Amino acid sequence: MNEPQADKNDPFKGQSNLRSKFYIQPGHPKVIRTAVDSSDTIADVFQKIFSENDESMYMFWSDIPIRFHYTFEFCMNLERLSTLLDKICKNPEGQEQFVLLTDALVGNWSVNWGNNEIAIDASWKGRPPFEGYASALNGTETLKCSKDDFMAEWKLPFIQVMNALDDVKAIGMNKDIDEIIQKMGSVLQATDHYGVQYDKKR
Amino acid sequence: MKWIIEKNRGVGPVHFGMKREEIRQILKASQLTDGELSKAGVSDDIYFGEGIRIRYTKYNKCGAIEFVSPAFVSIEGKELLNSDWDETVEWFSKMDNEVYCTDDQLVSYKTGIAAERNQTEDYLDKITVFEPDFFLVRKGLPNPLQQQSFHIQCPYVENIESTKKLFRTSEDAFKTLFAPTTEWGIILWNAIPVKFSYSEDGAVLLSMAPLLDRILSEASGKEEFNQQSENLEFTWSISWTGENIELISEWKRVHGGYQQVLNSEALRKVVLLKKDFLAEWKMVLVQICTAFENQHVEFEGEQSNRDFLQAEDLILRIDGVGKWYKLTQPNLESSILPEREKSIKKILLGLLIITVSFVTIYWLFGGEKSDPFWLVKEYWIWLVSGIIIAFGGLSIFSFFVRKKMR
Repeated sequence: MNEPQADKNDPFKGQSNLRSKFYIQPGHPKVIRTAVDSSDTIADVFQKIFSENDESMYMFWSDIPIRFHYTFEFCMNLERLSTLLDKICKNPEGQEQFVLLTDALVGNWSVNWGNNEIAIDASWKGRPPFEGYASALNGTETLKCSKDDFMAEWKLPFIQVMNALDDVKAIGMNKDIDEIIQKMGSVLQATDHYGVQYDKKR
Repeated sequence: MKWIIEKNRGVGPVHFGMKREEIRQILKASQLTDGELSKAGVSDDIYFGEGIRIRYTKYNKCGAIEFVSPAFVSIEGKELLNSDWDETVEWFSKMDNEVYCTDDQLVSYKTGIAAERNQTEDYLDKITVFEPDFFLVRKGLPNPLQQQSFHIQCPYVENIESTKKLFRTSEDAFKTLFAPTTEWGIILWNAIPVKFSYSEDGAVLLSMAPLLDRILSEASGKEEFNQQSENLEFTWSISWTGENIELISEWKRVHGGYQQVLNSEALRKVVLLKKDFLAEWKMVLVQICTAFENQHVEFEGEQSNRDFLQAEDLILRIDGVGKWYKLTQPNLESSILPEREKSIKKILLGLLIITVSFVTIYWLFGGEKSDPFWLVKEYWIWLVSGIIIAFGGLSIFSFFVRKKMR
């Protein structure tokens, strides 16, 4: 595998606080203003309010993009992801195992945090024919960055989700969804920054 | 238990699209013996004692049901499991003239049934009943080897302001005009994302214009397209004939260094409809041309000028836009309008109740107006006009709502 190419557009250029490359670029999907049901799960709601034929969110892991479609990867991981991020927010140090599911990949994350820093050791498996894609990701270094920077990356996607849920009146609809919203809320409160691509103040 | 197949609907009380919890209630979760993590990370439910496996789509809804002995499965009175193989193949051929059959497998997409032959004996030992498209498209667990795709997600382009209007080449113009654009564009090549930026790679994208023009104009052709920019270096061998286009790539460099993944045997080739390929480029061309037009950009270089004019012409000639940018989406139509229609019905019902109440009260307490139809007789012209105006108004309102939603 070749070394990653130097890039003049690199959003991390000149930012010494981010020691490893992890950032998120949300898509711009249209929100379908439709009726949601109180028995709907978060996945049901996402599948109703976002279209399969719309833009995706991308997570960049050491400059390798990983696709998160709103109607699948994002909603399938959201409940567990919000729980993980909530724990990271509320506990000054800790350790968690996390499984990230995408259409092409399964990522097993070993997450460690303390001293306002976070480190993620990830091992990736690709389902056929994406084994090489997983190998490329496995060839990357441990993700290390400040807790604040890590949280900041999730801020915009979570705001986007909360606005969409608010638009279709899914907030306050059922206990499970509210629990996820509450956890996303603690992530939003954890940092003033937005992700590295969007925070012009940095 | 005896299971009766209802074509494209389900089997007995289990229907396609049902949630996992609903099915577990029907089949009694206590009998659930095992679940396995499928390749997409969605677990199947296995009811071993019943000889049933429920396969779920990635949306956790029932997509297919598999049966082995001791289950009894029938369709239109014909018992399927343990039936004679040749006889069953013949029976299915009558039901579906496009039935796919090998020595040990049978698939009828029309009926949504697949069957497997026992390895040693001449009978049928496994039946899979599946919803339409379960094995074909993204709802289920598609075979990625058969899923070739090419899509482009355009980045958000910030407001462009530049005092410079004359550029030597398009490369200079992209570097200046698109510098503040922070988002990456994404080419989704066989489901693997490849990122690009307009400021660094825009000239490469614009240089596609002559090739796109050839693809659009010529019924068939072949071309080798070599390009390199800050983030990308690739060679695409492109050939097209009739409705189809085939791209075989050799990615020499992508940002992130994972080009070998894209060059793997399973992923390096893309075959798709020519019109879909062209449509994917339209939004890219629109973003580029809009930026150049708004800034009244001019080029000193003849090639850049030609590419730009060709791109503008292509925007008019390419039908439709890429997958993510289609304006009318079926679920948009079906999900919003019923809600609006419900509101309109409520308004009409309210007007009717008010009118009937008014007429009844006036008739009962109006003294000399003892004829219940006095209002209609005296004011019919106003009533008819009112109804026409009300319906006309509602139609115009619904037209604008529909337009706004789109």
